[in-house]
Amino acid sequence: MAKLKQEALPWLFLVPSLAGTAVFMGFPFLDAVRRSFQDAMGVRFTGLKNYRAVWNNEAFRLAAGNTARFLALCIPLLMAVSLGLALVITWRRKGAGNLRLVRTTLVLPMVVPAAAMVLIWRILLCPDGILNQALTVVTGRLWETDWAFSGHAFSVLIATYLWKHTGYDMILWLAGLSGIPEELYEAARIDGAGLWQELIYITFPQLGGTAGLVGILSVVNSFRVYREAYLLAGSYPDSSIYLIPHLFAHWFLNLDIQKMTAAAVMMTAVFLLPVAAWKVTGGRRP
Amino acid sequence: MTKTCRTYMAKILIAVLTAGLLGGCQRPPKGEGESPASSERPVSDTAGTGDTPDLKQGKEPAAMGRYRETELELPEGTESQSLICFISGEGGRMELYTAAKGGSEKSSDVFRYRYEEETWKRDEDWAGAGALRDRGLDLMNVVYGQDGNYYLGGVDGDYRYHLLKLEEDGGTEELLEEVFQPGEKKQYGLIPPGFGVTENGSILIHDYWEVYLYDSGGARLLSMTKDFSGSDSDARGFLNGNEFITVNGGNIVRYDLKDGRVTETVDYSEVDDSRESVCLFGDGSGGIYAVNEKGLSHINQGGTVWEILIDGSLNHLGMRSLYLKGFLKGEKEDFYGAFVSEGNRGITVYHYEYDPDMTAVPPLALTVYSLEDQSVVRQAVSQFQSEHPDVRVELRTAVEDGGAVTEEMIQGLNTELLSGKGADVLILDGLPAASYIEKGVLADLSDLVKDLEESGDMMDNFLEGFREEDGSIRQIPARVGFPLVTGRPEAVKAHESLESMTTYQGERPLTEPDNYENLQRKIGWLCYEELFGQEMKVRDRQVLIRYLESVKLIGEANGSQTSFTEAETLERFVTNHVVRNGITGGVVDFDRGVSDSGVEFLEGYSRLSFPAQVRRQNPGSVMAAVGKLYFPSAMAGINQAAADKDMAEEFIRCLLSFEVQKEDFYDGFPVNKKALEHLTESAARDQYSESVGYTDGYRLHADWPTLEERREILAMMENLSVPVVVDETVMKMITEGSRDYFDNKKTVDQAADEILRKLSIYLAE
Repeated sequence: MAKLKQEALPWLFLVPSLAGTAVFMGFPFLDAVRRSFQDAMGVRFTGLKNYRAVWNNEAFRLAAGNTARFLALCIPLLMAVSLGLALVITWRRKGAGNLRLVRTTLVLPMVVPAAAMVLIWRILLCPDGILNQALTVVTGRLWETDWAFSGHAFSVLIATYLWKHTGYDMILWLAGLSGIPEELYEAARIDGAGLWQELIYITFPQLGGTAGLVGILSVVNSFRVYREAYLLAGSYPDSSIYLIPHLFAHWFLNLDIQKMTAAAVMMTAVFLLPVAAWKVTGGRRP
Repeated sequence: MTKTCRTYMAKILIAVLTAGLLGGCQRPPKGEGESPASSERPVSDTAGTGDTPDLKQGKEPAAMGRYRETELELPEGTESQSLICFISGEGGRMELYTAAKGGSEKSSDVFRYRYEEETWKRDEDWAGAGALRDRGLDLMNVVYGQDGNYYLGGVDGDYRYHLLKLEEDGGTEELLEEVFQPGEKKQYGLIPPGFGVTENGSILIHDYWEVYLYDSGGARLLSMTKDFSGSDSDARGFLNGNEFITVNGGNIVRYDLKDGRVTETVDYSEVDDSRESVCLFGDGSGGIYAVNEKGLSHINQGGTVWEILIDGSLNHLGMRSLYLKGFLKGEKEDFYGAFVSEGNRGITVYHYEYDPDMTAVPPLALTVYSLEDQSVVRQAVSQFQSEHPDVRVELRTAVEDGGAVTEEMIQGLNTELLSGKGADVLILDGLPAASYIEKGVLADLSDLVKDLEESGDMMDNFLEGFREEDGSIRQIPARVGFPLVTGRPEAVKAHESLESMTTYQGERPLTEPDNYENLQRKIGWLCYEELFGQEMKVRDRQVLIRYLESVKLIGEANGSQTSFTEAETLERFVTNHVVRNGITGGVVDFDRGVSDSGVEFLEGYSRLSFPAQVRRQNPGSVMAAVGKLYFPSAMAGINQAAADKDMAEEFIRCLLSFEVQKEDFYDGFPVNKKALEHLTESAARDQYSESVGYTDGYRLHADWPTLEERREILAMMENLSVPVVVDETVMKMITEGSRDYFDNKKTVDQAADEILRKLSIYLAE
C-alpha cells in the first residue's frame, strides 16, 4: 500500500499539468487526426486522400524541405555558438573578472520585440540600407542587393535567428556549466590535464543533460522563426525561406483545414517516431 | 497542522478544482447561457405580430418595449418638392418648409406645412413666402428663435446670403448685412450652413469650422470652434438657453455663451457612425439627443453613459439612401424624423412611438457578414428590416473606419465557418470565394436564380458568369462596374488585345502616363481573358514575359515611371497613388491631348459625365466597353450552415430587389434590370455637375449625361459577359516582382523568374 502510494504521488502532482496538456493539446490533436481523414467541412470520410494530396503538394515539399534545412543548419550552429560564448564567459570570469556587459548585450535581443527587430534588419538590409552602403564604400562598386528578398534571404533568416536566440541559449549553457563541480577540474589539473582535456573529458560529458534541454528549446524556438520571416519578407517571401507556417497560414486562409491537419499529423510523426524508436531501442534510463 | 490533515486538505482542493473545471465546461441547460446568436434563433412569430414566442413556450419572458416606426402621410404636392428644413415652431408645432421651382425666374416657390391635429396643413397665409419672393431669395434655413420670432436665411441671384427677421405684421427686417458681404478680393461672402437666435436676440452664425455669436446690432461677441461641416444644413449643434452644444474635436461640447468657455465635453465615439453625421437636439432639461444611422441616443447633462432609445438598424434611420434632415421630440415621449433621398427630394416623415407590447429585440435573427461596409448591403439590411419587423438583421463588418482588410479577419471568419457557424449571408468581396465554393461552404442558389430569371428582373448576363461546372450558382453580384474607353476610333479599337495595344501607332500615345503599377494593373485587367482568366494564363513564362514587355513598351511610349517626384506630379499631373484596378481616369488626358484614348471605370452614371462630355467636345471620338469585361461587387452567398436558409435567400432577394437596387450609391450599377432601366430613364439630375481644373489652365465641366448617352451605356451593359475576379495576391506578386525591371535594374527574364518562383508556390498550395 505504501509502495503504491509512493508510486502514485508523482502522478498526482502531474495531474494539473497532464490535464492541461490533454485538454489544450492532446484532444485537439486527436481531433486534428480525425479531421485529416475527412473533407474540409468534416462531412465526408476521405481515407488517405488528404495525405496523398499533401505528399504530392509541391508547396508542402518546398516548405518542409526549407524547414528541415533550417533546423539542420540552425540548431547545431546555435548550440555551438552559444556554448562557445558561454565557455568564453566562464573562462574569462575565472580568469579576468566580470563580463556582465558582454552577457547583457548578448541577452538583449531576447527582449527586443520582433517587429522592432525586423525593422532594424530591414534598415540594414534593404537595397539602399546600411549593409549595401558599407559594401559600396569598401568595394568601390555600387551594391543594391535586396538581401531579404533575394537568394540571400535564407542566410538573413539564420542570422536573425542566431542574433535573437544566442543569448538565451548561452544562459542555459552557463547554468549547466555552473553545475559542474570545481573539484573535478582541480583533480584533473593535478593529474596534468590541460584546457582541452578538461573540455573533452569533463565539461562536455557533464553538459549532456543541458545539451538535451538546449536542443529541445532551440527546436521549439525555431518554429517561431516564422514571425521574423513573415515580418521581414511578407506572406510570400523568397522561396528559400518559405516555411511550413507560411503554408499553414495560407491553407487556413483558404479553409484547407483537411490539408493542414494531414500535414500536422505527418510532421508530428516525423518528430515523434525517432523519439519513440530511441526509447524502444534503449533510450530508457536504467 | 498534521500531515494527514494537509493530505486531506490537498485532496479536497483537488476535488473542488476538478469539479469546477468540469462544471465550467458543462453545457448549460437549454435556454440559459446560450450565445446571443443562438438565443435569437427560436422558432417564432413569423407573422410579425410582435408576440413573444418565449411566452408561448413557457420560457422566461423576453424583454418588451420598442419604438415603433410609422410613416406620416404628407400633403399632396410635396412629392415633387424639395425639403428645406423641419423644425419645431411656434407653440412647439412641427413645421415643414419645402421649395419647388415656380413661375418666377428669380427664386423658387416656398411652402410651409404645419402639423395640427395629426395632419399636415399647408399655411397659405405664411408671410415668409411673399417676403422671399419679393427679395428674390432662395430659402436655405428657417429658425424659430428662443425670442419667439421667426428668422429666414436665403441666397440671392448673386449667391449672397441674407438673414431676415419676420415681423409680426408680416414685414421683414434684414440683419447682419455686413457679416455676409464678401471680404476683400473675395467673390462670395459667408453662407452659413445654420444659425440660431437666443432669448435676448443674439444671433449664432455657423461657419464651416467655427460658430460666431453676434448681438442684434451686428457686433461679434464670441467665436467658438467646431468640427468641419460641409453640409448646407448643419444639424450638429443647437441652442439650449444660454448654451450652445455642438461637435468639436470628435466630442460633443457645451459652450457657455456668456464667455465662450467649454463647460462640458461628452465622448460620443460609441454612438458615432461611419458617416460621422449626427443631428443633435435637446431634451429640454439639459440632456442631449444624438441621432444618426446608428439610431437615437440620449445622455443626461453631466452623464457619461449613452442610452440607445431607438436602434437605427431596425428602421429607416439606418437606410443609406435616406438623408436625415431633422429630428424632433414630440409631446408624448415620441419623436419625428424627416428624411430626403437624392437632391433633397423624396420627402418622408416618420413617427417613432414607444410600443410596450413589441419585443425589445425582434425574436428572429439573420446575420450578414462583409469585410467592408458597403452601402448597397446596408440599404438591403434596412429594407429587409422594414419589411420583416420580426427579424433582426445584424450586419457584421470586419473593417471599421476605413481600415485595411487583414488576413486575421479572414482567418477569424474561417474559424467560425469551420465550426459550422458563421454568418447566414456572406458578402464575398475580398474573401476566398472560390475556395469556399470548392469546400462546400456556400449553398446552391440555383432556385433563387431560376426565379429571378423567370421574373425577368435580373440582367441574366451577370448571373451566367457565376455558374459552376456542375450547373450550380453559389454567388451573385449585387453591383457591377466596367471599364469604358473613350478616344480616337483606332485607339479605342486597339484595346482589343495586348498585341494591338503594344503595336498601336497613333499621333499620341495610346494611354496617359501613370506609375507603372497602375499601368500594369490596368493593362492586366483590360486583357483579363488573355492574361488571367480562370486558368491563370500568366503562369506561363512566355505569357508573363509578353505581358511585362508590353507594359514597358506602352509605358515608355507615354512616359510612365515606377514613381514620380513631387515636382513631376505637379508639372505632369501624374500620381504615385495606386488604385486596385489601375484605372485612374484617363479621359481627361485624352481631352487635354496627352493621349489618343482614356479609360474610365464606370460605377454609375455619375462617372459617365466626363467621358460623355469629352466625346461631345472631340468630334469623331468614340466610347466603347472593353472586351465585354465587367467587375462584379457586393457578391452575396449563403452559408450552407445557415440556420434558416429560406430567410437568408429572402435577404438576397431583397438585396437584388428593385427597391434596393434603384438607389445610386456611386458604388456600381444595379444588376436588377428594372432598377437599371429606372436609373437610365430617370430625369436628369439638374443639381449634378462635375468640374476639373489644372494649373496649366485646362478646365473640364460636365453635367449629368443625357438620356441618349445613358441608353447607350445600358445597351453596352447588356452585352457584358466576362466577370473580372481580381486575384490581388497574384497581382501583388507581379507588380512587386517586376518593379526592378521597369527601373531597368533587372532583365525581363530575371523579373519573370522571380515572379514565377512565388506564383508557382501560390498556385501549388
